[in-house]
This record gives sequence, structure tokens and C-alpha cells, in this order.
Amino acid sequence: MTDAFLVMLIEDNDDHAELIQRTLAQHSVSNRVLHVSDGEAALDYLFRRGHWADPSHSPRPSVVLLDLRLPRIDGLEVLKSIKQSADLRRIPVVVLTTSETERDVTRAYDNHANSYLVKPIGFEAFASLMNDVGTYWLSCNTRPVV
Amino acid sequence: MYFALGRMLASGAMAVGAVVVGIALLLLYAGRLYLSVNLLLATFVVFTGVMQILGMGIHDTITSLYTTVLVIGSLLLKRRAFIVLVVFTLLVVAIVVAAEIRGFTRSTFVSSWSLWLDVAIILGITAMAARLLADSLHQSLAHARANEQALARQAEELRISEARYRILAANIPDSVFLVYDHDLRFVLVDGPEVEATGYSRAALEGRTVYETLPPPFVARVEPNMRAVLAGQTFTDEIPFNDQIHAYYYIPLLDSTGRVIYGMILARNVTEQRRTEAALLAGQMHLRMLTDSMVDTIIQTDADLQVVYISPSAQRVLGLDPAAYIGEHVGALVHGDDMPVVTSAITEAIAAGDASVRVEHRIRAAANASAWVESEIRLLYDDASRFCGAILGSRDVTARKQIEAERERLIAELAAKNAELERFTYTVSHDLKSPLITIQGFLGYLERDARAGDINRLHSDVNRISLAVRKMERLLNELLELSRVGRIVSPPQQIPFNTVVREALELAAGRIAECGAHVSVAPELPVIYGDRTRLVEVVQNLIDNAIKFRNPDSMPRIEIGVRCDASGSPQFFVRDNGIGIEPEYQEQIFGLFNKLDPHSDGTGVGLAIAQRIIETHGGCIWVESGGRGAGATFYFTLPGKPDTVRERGMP
Repeated sequence: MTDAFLVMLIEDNDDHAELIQRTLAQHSVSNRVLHVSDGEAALDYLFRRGHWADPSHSPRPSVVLLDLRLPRIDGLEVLKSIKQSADLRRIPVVVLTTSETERDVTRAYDNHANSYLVKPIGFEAFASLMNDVGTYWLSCNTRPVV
Repeated sequence: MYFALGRMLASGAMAVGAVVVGIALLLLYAGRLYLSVNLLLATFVVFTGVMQILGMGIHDTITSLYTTVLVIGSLLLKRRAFIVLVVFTLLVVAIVVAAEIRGFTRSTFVSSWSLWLDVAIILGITAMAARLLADSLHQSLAHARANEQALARQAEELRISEARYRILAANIPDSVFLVYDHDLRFVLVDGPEVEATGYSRAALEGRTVYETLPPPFVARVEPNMRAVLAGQTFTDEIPFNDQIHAYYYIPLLDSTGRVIYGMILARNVTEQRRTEAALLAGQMHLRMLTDSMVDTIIQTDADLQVVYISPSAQRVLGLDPAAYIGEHVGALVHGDDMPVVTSAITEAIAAGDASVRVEHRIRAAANASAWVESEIRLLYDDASRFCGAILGSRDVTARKQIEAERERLIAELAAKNAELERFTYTVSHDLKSPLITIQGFLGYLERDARAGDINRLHSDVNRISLAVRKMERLLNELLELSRVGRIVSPPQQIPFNTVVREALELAAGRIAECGAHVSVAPELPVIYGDRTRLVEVVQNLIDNAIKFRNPDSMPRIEIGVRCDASGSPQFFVRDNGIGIEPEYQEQIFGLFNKLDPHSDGTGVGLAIAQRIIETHGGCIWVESGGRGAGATFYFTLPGKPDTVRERGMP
């Protein structure tokens, strides 16, 4: 594990982003969190467009935490784009959303999401979940070569 | 001795004569007139001649007797027999005269050659005269006989004629044949129907109507019978018992044109009349059925020219059936649907089908049309060639309308359902978000306090309070959105300028705050709708324009109207703000949809505006050249709806 971890957080709600970042920061494994607040910006980064055209400035994330409800291009579209791209499809995408609807869960998995997590209400539950996410995806899980 | 022989012969001759007379009488009795006369004459002449010769002598009496014989002979004998008689008589006379001259007989008078001549002349003239008389008598007789034969022939003809009448009468079914004279007496009655009337030939023939038929019936027929005798020919129909008879009255004329008899041919037409009545009733029934049915029947020939159209067309479609007879069926079927109908018929004919079912529109009164379902029966002649079609068309306009209405309702319901689903989804998501924020940062408050990180404590408290405020606002707007469908004030006609003015008053604070310049077109049309709601729409659009203003330039808001291709007004609110990329121009009307997560507001405002416009039957959309190009929001309002919707199709 010589490479630094890069967590890409695609989240339109700044408060939620702050909470996630804080809980992940507590995690023992050192990591960086890249936060983008809409789908368009996320795809620009991942497909190295515009501002992110230089690959040295846009390293591949170790894991993507993806909210489904996003402005401009919604989360599901972002997921599709990642999973349809030969370059990106191996990046684990963890859907992290408030939606518990079956339709969203199904559609996420249909589009090859690697995990689906519902943001819990309540500090302890939220912190615990984010802790587990950090442990699992940053420690337990073996990263693919991207 | 000679004398004695004569006497002896004479007495013998008497006996022979008696026998001959007897035979002649027998012959006469048997009708053999000529044979009988010939026999008598022959006997008489032979005897007279023999007696003369045997010495009875010639004298005047005998001469006159000969004359008489010749006369009778000429009367009765045929020409050849008569000539024989004359020759024989002259021969006998010659012998007698010769005998007297030679003195064989006793002389009674002085004989001379002049006597010969006299006798010969007398006899000759007598014979000739007698012959002339006889000829004329024969002619008369021939005439009489011819007359007699003519009469007999007439009688025969009459007999045949009567027989013919009788045969005729006997062979006309259900008929009575009556011939009567001027006393109204039946001279001939026949026909199979005689017995059926309860009478017989024998009971009628030879009797008058007064003697035979019931008085009320006589009263009914007597004027007719008299009229026939007066020379009229006519027909009449008279009930007798429970039967109806058709009477044909014909006068029978003689050769001079005088009416000698009246003739009646009475036919029993009861069955016929009953059949006719039943047929008529059937026709009436059929007519009543076709009249009262809801279907329209159209019959065409092979060229699809209308040959019949049921009267129900008048009632069901409001069409005059007579106006379409002879027209092509295309005059009735809606032009757009004619190809469907003709191709259905053509295909069915090609397949040899008996019928085909097509749904199409048909002409109805007042330039409208109605949807019908037509069962088209195809008619083929003996050679299996298509020779016409019968269209049984049922008006299904109501069904079609219901179907369309149902489709519309289903679509509306589906849209509502989808909207509701979206709504619940977004609500659950968007209402949950602040809760997560609140709970999350509440947890950090304690840590911040323990760590004595006052700055972060302030920041976290601020986040919590913002989330609470956002939640409150969300709830308020959701409540507002749920009310949009409901009418606040009854629809009314309002000048759009009034609506704009009220909206500007409500937004006056925000306009002043950002220093926006607002221009409103002067003559805006009058609109129809819920005043409060429409003010809300304009206010929302103004707020939107201010919210997404371009920070680098002075905000300008323009409110006005333009006309589309059909002349309908399209109201607009135009700004010079940040603009919207084409791909997001639809998203912005979605509930809680925000293009910029950091912008003010909850993403409900445009959803509310859209809802209000759609409730009014209009539509709303945005046009923008993209980022930085400003945006123009357009919306339409259909105006006052027509009070009556036509049942016809376009």
C-alpha cells in the first residue's frame, strides 16, 4: 500500500460532505478526500476534461462515494458513465444516499454499483457507518489496478 | 185372249203393287226416301207400259198420267234417273203409238203423224218445264238445307262456346263463373269455387239472384249487375261470408253490339289479400325496425354507388337518405378513412370473404362526422363476382369519445402517479437530508465543546440552524405545492397587466435590493384564470430572474407577450442572468431540482409555476442561449374554454 488513498466524494450537500469528511478523517488510515458537488464536475474529473485534462492532476480515486441525487447530471448517470468506461469500470463505486427506495437500489446494482449504503439519521449511526466504510474499502478491500 | 191376258196381268199386278207399296212404306219409314220413290215409280211405269202395250190403248188420261209421272220424277229423281225415265216414257209412247197405227190395239181416236208430233211436243215442253221447276225447287231445297246446316253449326258453336266457358270456369282456381240475363237470372254458373260458397250449379242456374242469394248481398251486387247489362266493364271486391271475392264484370254482346248477357268472373282472393296484408304488415314492421334501429344501413352496387340508405340515417346522423342515392359511398365516408374502407373491401373480395369489419368516420349533419363501426357484407352474383356491399354502420362516437377520454385519464393518472412517486421520492430524500445534517452536527457539538473548539462549535451550530430553516422552508413550500391544484379564487377575465403589476408589488423588495430594471409591455391581453395563482407564477418567475442574475451586470427583467404561428399569445419573463444550458432546461422545473446546489432556494418555485400553468391548461418552458446568455420563460394560457364541445371529430 504505497500509493496514497484517494476517496472521491460526489455529494451536493455541503453539510453531508463535511460530516463524511470528518468521520473519514478520524479513520486510522491516512487518506485524501476529493469532494465534488455535482455530476458534471465529477465526470469532468474522471474523464479528465477541461480543468482536469492533465492526468497528473487527476489521479484515479481508490473508491468513489456517490450520492444519487445530484444537480445537472444525477448520480445514476455518473454511475453508468463510470461502469461503461473501460478505463474506469474497475473503480469501486459505493452509492451513499438518503434514498431507501427499492427502485434506486435495483437501478444502482443494475448499473454495477459495488455497494449501496443509506445515510443513517443520527450521529452515532452515521459515524459508525462511515468508520466501517473507511475500514472496509480502505483497509480490507484489495484495490484493483486502474 | 190378248185381252184376258191383260186382265189376268192387271189383277196380278194389284197384288204385286200392294207388296211394292208395303216395301216402299217400310223404306220410307227407314228414311230411304229416294229408294222408296224410285221403287214406286219403277213399278208404276213398268205396269203402265206393259198394260198399254197389252191393249189398254192410249188416251188423254194416260198422257196426263205420264205427264204427272214425269213431273213427280223431275221433282224427286236425280238428273240421270230422270233422263232414263223420260227416255223410257218416250219409248213406251212410241211403241204404243206404233201399235195403235198398226192396229194391234183397239183404236179410240183417229191417229195421224201430227198426233205423234203433238204428243212429242207436249211431252217435251212439259218435261223441260218440269225440269226447270225441279231445278228451282232443288235450289230452294239446297238453300234451306244450307241454312239448316248453318243453324246447326251455330248451335254447335254455341254448345262449344258454353263448354269452353265451363272449361274456363272450371280451370280458373278459386273462381265462380256466372252468366245472367236481363232478369238477373243465371243462365250459366260454373267454377271450382261454386261449392265453396255453399251453393251449387243446379241451385243457381235458371234462377234469379233474388231467388237465390241473401238480400243484403243482392243489395250489394245488384247495381253492379245492372251496370254490366248497361254495357260497363269493371272490377269490384266484395266480401261473401268470411271470404273476399274479386269480381270481374263483363257484358256479353251479340253481333249487333247489344248486351245479351252479363258475365261475372268472381275469384276468391281471401288468401291473396291475407298474404298481401301480412306482407304489408311485414314491410311495415321491417320499415319500423330499420327506422328505429340505431344502425345505418347503406347498400351499394359493385361500383360502390349508394343504392339504398336506411331512414335511420336521418335520425342517427341527421342525413337526408334520398340525397345520397346514386352517390359514391365516398360521399358518406370521411375522406381520410376512405382508403381504409376501400382497401378493406378490396382485400376481403380478394380473399372471397363474406364480410369485413371496419371502424371509420362517416359524414354527419352540419359538416361534422361521427365514428362508426361498419360490418360490410359483400354481395356476390352467381358467377361469384362482387356485385355490391351492405354496410351496417353503428355510431360508436360516444364509445370513441369515452375511449379517448379513458386514454386521456389513464395518461393523466399515470402522469399523476409518476409525479407522486417522484414527489415522495424527492420529499423523502430532501427532507431526510437536513435531518442527517442536524443529527450529525449535534453529535459534533458535544465534541467541539469538550475540545473547547469554539469556532467549530459556532460553525456547527450555524449548520444546524440553517438545516432547520431549510427544512421549515421545504415544508412550507411543499404545503404550497400541494395547494396549487386547488382553486384559490374563481377563474375570471383579468388584464395581464394587472397580474404583472400585483406580482411586481409582491417582489418589490427584492427588486429594489438588487437594483433590477423591470420593463413591462403596455398593452397586454386579457387572460382568463385564477388571479391569485397567476400572480404567483409571475412573481416566481421574477424571483427566479433575480436569483439567477449575472453578478457582473445590472439585472434587467422584461415582461411581455409574443404571438405564435397560430396567433395565440405567449407571455414571457426575460432576464439577462446566468442562463441555462439546453440540456438542463427541462430539469429546472422538477421538484427540488437545482442546477447549483449552493444557490438560494429549495428548487420548488418553478415546479409550482409549472403546476399552476398546467392546471390552467397551458404550458411553460424556458429558452436560453446557454450559460451567460440570459433566459426567457414562456407560458401560454388557453383563455376561456368553449362552453360546448362538439360531438364531431375534426
